[in-house]
Amino acid sequence: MLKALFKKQFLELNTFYFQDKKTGALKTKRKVISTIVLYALLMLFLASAFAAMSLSFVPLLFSETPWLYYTLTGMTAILMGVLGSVFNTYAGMYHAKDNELLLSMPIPPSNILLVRIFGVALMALMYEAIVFIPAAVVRFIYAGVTFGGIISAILLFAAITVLVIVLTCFLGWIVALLAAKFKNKSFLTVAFALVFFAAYYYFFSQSYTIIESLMLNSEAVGETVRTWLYPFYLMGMGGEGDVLSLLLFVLLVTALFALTWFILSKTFVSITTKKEASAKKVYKEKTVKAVGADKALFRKELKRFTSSANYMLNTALGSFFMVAAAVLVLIYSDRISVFAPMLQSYGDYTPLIVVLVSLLCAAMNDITAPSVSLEGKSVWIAQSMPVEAKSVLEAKQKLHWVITMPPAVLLTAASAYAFRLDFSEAVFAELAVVVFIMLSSAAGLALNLKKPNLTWTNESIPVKQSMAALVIIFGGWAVAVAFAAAGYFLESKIGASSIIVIFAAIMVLCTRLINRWLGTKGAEIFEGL
Amino acid sequence: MLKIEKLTKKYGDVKAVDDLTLHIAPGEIYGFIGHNGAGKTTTLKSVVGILKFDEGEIYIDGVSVKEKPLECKKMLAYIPDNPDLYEFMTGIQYLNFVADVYGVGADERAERIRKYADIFEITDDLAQPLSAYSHGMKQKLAIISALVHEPKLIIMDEPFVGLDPKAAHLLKGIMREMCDSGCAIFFSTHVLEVAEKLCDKVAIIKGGKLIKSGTMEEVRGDESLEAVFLELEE
Repeated sequence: MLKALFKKQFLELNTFYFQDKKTGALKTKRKVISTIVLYALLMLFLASAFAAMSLSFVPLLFSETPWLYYTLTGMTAILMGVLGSVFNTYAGMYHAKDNELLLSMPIPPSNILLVRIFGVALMALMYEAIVFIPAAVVRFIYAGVTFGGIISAILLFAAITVLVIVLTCFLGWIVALLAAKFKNKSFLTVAFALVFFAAYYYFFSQSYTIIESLMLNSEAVGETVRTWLYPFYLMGMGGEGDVLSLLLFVLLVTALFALTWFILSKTFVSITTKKEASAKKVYKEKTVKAVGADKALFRKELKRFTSSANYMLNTALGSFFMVAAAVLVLIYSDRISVFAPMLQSYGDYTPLIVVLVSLLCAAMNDITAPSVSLEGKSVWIAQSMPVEAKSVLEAKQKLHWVITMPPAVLLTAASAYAFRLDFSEAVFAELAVVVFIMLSSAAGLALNLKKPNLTWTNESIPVKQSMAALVIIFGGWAVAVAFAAAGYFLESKIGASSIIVIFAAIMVLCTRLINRWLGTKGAEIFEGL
Repeated sequence: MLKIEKLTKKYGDVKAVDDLTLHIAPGEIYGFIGHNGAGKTTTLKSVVGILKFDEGEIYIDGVSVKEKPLECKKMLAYIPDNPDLYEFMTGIQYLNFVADVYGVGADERAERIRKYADIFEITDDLAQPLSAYSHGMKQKLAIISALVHEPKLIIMDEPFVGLDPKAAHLLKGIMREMCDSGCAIFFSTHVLEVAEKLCDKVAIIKGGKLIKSGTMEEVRGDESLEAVFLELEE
């Protein structure tokens, strides 16, 4: 039975990645290979960033507390794993579309739960691996490869995976309990996530200071970890090859998993089948104002967006960051303005930095990338209505603009003020950011139309695991990096403003090309979904 | 009102609908019957403009679905076999969304929503999110949304599935009322007794081909529709 459930889960994954959603036929070898290569490249890109972080910890390997290396990289892996999968856990475990169907079958709920946890584990594993594997490789390069070291690393990796599963499932369970008690679940989940992110980014912003202080006071830090965070001491020691520590850490993680399993299995059915806690709201007729079709389509997209915490968090996190960043930039504008003359001594880099910061943040938004897939089985509504497919697609783009542009414009304006840009530079910067957002929304939509998935059982699949979403986020960052590189090499030759204007012009051109495709071929694809 | 001329729709090499011709006049309730996979839904979706067809033509009130799809869509309403509606909306939000897209004025829509929601007894539930609706309630809402813009042609795919007996009875009454005021209805069903009692005309499709059509009397003769259908299916 369990085998059948896992088979179903794999079938779903297989269908998603390797099957044509409409015909059911297997994708061509070329398509499969290109998908795999693209994923591999994305993973390599992320892993290289964490390899760089691990390199900064290398001195620890030759200090009095070499175990701190695995403690710190392991903690980062745990954080990354939890962060990467926690927001899908609630939806993936308790709101999978086939939960009720499976519960109606003679399947023990614990088996269903196990399969759901497996889904969480895969996601956790992926995020955790991009931190842990580079860390282990860096350690092997600098401290040498031993058989014991490899075994310890493998066991530690497995134990950390289980710990990530425990933490994610536990947090998902907490969200489920809270959500059952409150009406505005999506906003509650977003608030919960934002608090989590705020804490995470606070520590992240302090990471340089933390690493520096760690390097200088590794012994004192080691003592603190040993005293107050003993399990992480065991984790580090285990990674270093101390068998007893590794065994104790594995035992501890196993016990935590058993406890989590106990809690989750006792509450799974009741949470999954729980209906709205609030009393039924009785309809009272109100006067409504008729609006045009375009506005109605936009409202529908907005409603879709705000009704799902998953959608909001995974596709519009950049907007939250940009608002927070704009506030911080304004608060610290005096301090930031001090840097402006320093930077000016190297060249006119400040306008470029202003644009770059906004691009990096705006690139985190990929609202259009899953928007076609999210139509799901309701796609017939838009297809049968007297509206052009082009208008439906435009409404999706408008949502992306409305959610992304105001915070991006605000952040750019705040940065421009802090760096004391002159008016024309500020206007060019705003222009570049706005057209980048337009390109990003058009490209996300186009990619989703090329690879739509209307048959998902859990909305995390199109929102978080789709190729379109990954390509748009990482592609956006790649564009930002290309812009930075162009700025670095060309600033002295043509000046910052010219670079920004040329960049904006290229963005406009690309956006127009993609929009032309969306209006013709893209609309045709949507009509035929 | 609806003219289907030599309609052919292929999925790969398989002809789901093969050279099908049907004419439906205003005021007619036209039943469409056939076994599972016979091509009923494909035909209905082609009429609605959801599916592109390979050969033939479809005209709604003289307007070609191929050439002027939006004009055609404005005249018709579609109720699919499975009412997958926007679950993130409440019932009233969904109805207002449909009314906005079809350009129905605020007063007209309020009156129609009031009328049909009362008939189907879901007025109190209109403030509920659609995710909380049962299958039958969603079906009722899909029907109301189809009626909110007073279409000239209604295309229904298995409209009675999921409806309670009272709602099914009410729907039959509404269908007759709509057709008496000049609307045409083309619907598929497996419930032959309903087709027999409700339809002015009926068409039987098998393997994508139309095998019999006409008035109820012409099709069934002295036998029951069920007997004729089973005979033709053999």
